[in-house]
Amino acid sequence: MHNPSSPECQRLLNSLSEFIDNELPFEGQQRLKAHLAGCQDCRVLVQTMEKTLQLYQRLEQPILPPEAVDRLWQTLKSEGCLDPDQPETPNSM
Amino acid sequence: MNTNEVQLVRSLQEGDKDACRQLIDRYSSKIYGVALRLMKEPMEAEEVLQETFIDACNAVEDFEGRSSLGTWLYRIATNNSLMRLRSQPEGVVSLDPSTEPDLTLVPQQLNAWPEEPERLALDQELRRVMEAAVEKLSPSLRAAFVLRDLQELSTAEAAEALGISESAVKVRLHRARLELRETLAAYFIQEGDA
Repeated sequence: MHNPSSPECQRLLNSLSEFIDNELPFEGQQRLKAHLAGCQDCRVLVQTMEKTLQLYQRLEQPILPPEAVDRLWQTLKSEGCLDPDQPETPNSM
Repeated sequence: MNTNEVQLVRSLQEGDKDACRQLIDRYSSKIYGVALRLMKEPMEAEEVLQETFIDACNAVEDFEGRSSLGTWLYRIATNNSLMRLRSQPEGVVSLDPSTEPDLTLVPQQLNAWPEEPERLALDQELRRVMEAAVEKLSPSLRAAFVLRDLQELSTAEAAEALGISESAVKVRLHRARLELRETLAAYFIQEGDA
């Protein structure tokens, strides 16, 4: 088990998301990059975190079933948000 | 907001019913996606979807345009989802009022993954593991992750949608990502040993 006892390892752990999102100040980003060059555990942590995010970005969005769209229309009409006679259009999504 | 969106809001505020149709066409799928990931159950997600658009149609006159229309809808949907989760009888839904980072969340799995995940097909089992990992997150962490990483809102937009500070979004996102990484790491190590 990795024990981030070194201050730099702990700093990386605490800032991991911001580091990967490139949201740290320049000096902080550079300092952690320098740490990664010499710390395999932290390199693995960064690489596997990046891979985690890449995988989730490939996950398909849930599909809204057409019948749920129909029910949404009906509900909005019954709530007075839409005219009862307003024709529905094909789901354009 | 861009010009297109400004015009849509104006039409909605004027009671243009065709504008309401445009709103549904443009956002219903995204709102459903967020609701489903927060609620886990399709029927509940659909109810959140309906509530969201009812609330939006009723409140659009008060929409001041300080955020984008999408962010505003995400906020309504997220609030509706989290309120439902709060009222569920099973367990207490912790909404993490503390924004302090949990520094005890130390990664347990620090082996390099045996395969290059980006080359893996998202087969059914991996997809199931990934979805289950998101469902296992606490509601507040799940909401931050879904909005920021799955719906790709910016930190500022996610903060607006969640009604919290940007730093709180970052803390929750950080914790969510660490938990997800641990779950996937355990899965890939197990796969590698099989």
